[in-house]
Amino acid sequence: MSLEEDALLLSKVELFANVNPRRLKLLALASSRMLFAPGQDLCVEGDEGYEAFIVISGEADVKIKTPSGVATVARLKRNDIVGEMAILRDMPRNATVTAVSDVTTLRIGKQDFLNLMKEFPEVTVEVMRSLAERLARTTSELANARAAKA
Amino acid sequence: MSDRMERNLFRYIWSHSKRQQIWILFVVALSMPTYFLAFDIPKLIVNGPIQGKGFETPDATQKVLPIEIGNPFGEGSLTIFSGFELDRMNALIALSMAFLGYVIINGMFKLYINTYKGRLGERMLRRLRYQLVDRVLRFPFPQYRRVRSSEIATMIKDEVDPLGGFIGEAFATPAFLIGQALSALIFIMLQSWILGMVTLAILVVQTGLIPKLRGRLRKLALQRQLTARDLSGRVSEIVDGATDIRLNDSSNYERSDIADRLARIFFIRFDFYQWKFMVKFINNFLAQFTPFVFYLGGGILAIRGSLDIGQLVAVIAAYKDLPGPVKELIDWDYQRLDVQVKYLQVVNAFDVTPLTPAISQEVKPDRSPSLNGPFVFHQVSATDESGKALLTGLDLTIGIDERVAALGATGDGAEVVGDLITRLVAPSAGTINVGSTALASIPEWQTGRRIGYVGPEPFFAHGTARDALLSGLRHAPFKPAPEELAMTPLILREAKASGNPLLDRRADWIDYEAAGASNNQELAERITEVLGLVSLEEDFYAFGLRTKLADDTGGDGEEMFLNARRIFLDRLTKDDNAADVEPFDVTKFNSQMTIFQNLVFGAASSPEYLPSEIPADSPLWKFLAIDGLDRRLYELGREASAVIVDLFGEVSDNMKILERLDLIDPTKLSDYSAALGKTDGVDFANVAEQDRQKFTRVALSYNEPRHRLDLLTDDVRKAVVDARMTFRTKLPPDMAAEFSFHDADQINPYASLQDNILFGRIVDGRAGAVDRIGALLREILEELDLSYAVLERGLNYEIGSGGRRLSLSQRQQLGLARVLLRRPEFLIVNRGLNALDNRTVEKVIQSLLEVSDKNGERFGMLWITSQESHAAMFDRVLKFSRGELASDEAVA
Repeated sequence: MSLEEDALLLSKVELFANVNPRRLKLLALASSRMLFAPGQDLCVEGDEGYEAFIVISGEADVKIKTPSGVATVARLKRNDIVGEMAILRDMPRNATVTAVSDVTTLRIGKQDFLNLMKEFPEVTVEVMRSLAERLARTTSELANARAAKA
Repeated sequence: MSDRMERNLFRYIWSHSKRQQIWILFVVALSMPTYFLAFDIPKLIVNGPIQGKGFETPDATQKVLPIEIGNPFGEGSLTIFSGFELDRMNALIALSMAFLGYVIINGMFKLYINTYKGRLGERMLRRLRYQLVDRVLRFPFPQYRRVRSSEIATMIKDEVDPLGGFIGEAFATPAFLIGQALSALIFIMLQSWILGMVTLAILVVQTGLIPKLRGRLRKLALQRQLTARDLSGRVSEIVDGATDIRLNDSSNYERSDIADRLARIFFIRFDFYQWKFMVKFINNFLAQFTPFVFYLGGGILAIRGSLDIGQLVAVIAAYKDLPGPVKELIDWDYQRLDVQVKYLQVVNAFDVTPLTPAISQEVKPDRSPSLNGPFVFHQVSATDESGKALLTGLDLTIGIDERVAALGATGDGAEVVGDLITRLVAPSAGTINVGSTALASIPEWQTGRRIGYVGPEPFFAHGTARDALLSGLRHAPFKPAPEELAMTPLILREAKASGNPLLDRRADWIDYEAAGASNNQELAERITEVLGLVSLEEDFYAFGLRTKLADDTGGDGEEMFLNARRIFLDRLTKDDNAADVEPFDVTKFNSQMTIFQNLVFGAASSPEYLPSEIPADSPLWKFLAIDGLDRRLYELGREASAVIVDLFGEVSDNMKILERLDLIDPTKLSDYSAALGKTDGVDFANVAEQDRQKFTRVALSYNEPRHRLDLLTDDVRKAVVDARMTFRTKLPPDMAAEFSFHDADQINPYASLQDNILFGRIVDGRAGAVDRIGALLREILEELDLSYAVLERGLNYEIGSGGRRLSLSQRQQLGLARVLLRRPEFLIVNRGLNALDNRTVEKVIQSLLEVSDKNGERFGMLWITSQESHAAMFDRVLKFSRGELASDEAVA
């Protein structure tokens, strides 16, 4: 578990794919590793979030409370990032993420994340691009769901 | 008694010390005869027994030491005792003995007078200082925003100080000096009427002119006082605001501002000195001008024969006694004007109206009566100091046990309701009643116990967290101090003589009844309860776990904590959480600690010993050289430094990240960069000691899981563990006393409580490990009945001046806890938890609502907030908008 390794991992995250490796090393240095046992929550819906996690190994489920109970909406794998929404703006976590196996993550603190974006606008552009893609995906999923319902 | 201050210093002094002043005048007068007799004796000794005048024959005798009362205006005198008939030798002995006697008597008089004057002055100073502080405590609330605290402090401490010295001199000195000057002048007059008139004329000029010239000095002295006071105000602002100044890079503006002020002070002072010496010159000149007239004018008169030479000599001799008293009199007058100005300055600053009447802050050791009835606002308006309306035409009734939220953004008027009830703001129109009583007429000793108020920035004096909590209970001396500590009769007498209160600070001031406790044990329970209510218990518990065992005052806890360690280890393995803690094992490298911590494998008595603080000549460097550990560490440190310098560049903008790494001081980054260049390719043996140490310090701070530079090899780990033993055995005795090493069977007094019980470190990066271990610790301490002991250690945490060693949210929680501890009848929280996260605030509100509804202890609440979700938790919500009550709804 070295810095080089973490920086390499960061570069594989979609969000940081085009960010200068030296800056990623800096982000890696500011971050820390965090291990979760199966069943442990990475974050809990409704809590205030102060950190984002990048999954290094293992898998975790993303669950959302719906009127009909808790629904699993996604499964996170290696290189997936979770919690970036909560650290981009002051709002509670919008989902609960639970480890399903032993999960190793790289934990990025809110302030370090914001500092990185402030100092290196290209990171911000990449984050925006990733968010836009996600929005597009959600929108089409919504459209599909509506079409299926109709 | 009027609440205005006496503006005339002399009247102030006279009204508080007339009896003493008269007594001292009397004693001074009494001391005069021997004072003058003592002057005469040396002449008698020299002329008589020594030179032999009157003892021309060996058996001649003379009468010595007669007692006569002379008539200053004519011949003849009344002889009471004609003197002792003695021969030459005996006359010498008698006169010398008389001389010695006068010296002793004069000395005793002087001693008595000076002591008396000194005590009188000190008492008056004490009285004045006390009065000033008393007034500060009774200022109208808005006044506190207008004054700078350090200026008030300077006035009370420094500016009134010269008054103490002066007060004793105020009446006796001028009387004495005038007496002296007048007798000299009358004597001159009697010798020669003309020369007497000349002397008088010059004296009139001197006493008229010099004080005028000194008028400018006084003005300068006043300016000097004001600028110095200003300076102290500014300096304290710089200290208070140092963080903001530096974080905004405005330190140089402060430098220029200080330099500017110092320049002004310099020129005022320099001007002052110039004038002072000029006035001195003129004064000396005038004093010497008189003898000039005597020599020339008197000489001419004498030569012409119209003045007897004997008379002229007598006049000149008499004149030498005149300038002294006159000069001192002029000095005294100057001092008088000076202290009068200073006094007036101080009075101006403290003569504030309307002062809260003293009766409102009366000492009331009994339980204060409860407030009768609801708060009734009738057409109440309030404005700020600029006259801007804060609240207009409010009609509102809040029951004393109602639980109400006032909702509105800052400036919308919600907080003004709280400020009005606590009287921090006075209404500009309308009336506020509590039941049928006007709120304004309720004394502070009642509101201050019955109404609880928590603002966003509670203040705590320097002290422990426990002191801070109890500071809300110190209403009156409830139980007298133990005999050996109580005020002695002397202290009481002096307090009375200086108009100070007779309240004993060493008494037990804690209002147990208000806290709902009857003894210390119950008070401890109440403290735990209120800390729990505000969600602060865990924090202080954690503080307690971080304290060193050596800090304990009790001492018998060691065995208990060792027991806790055994149970902890047992429970940890049983619960399958062993991986959460990496135990201290003297034969193994502990990866949760830095290399230096591994090397020491113990704790220092002083606050933590950091590698960057090891002195360059410490014997430690020599230990490292054994077995070549120094080379390994140097290489590790150099490599780590190379990565850091490469990542952060020579001048780093990412200071915060670098600071948090704790490897290289961000300000020294360029030093490291230079050292890297200098040592590039150089063999270790040839590297300068300074550079070796530089990189070795980085290595000593290195912690693999935290820094993750992949530099820690098994080889280095082993070498460090081996060096542990060297460190233990080779440490010189004076240093050895500073360290205590970890030992599985012993408590380490210098290590924290947590380190002692865990006997290891929580593994970094295991999610939930801190919580799991924390819960386990708690459980064990609870079982061993040590919980409160730990909490109490936490409460002994020094919170720093104004509580600055706590975070803002902790200060807010502590502020609320302090108020809750005295069980107010009505609690006002004016955005008092706005630094806390939402969930904690909701938790706190929920528990407050629960306790406020407990049988018999129901209390009302006014919760002022901008958060709708918080307001919705209360029974009734008042919505404020633009200074008006927009809606008033009960929540279902």
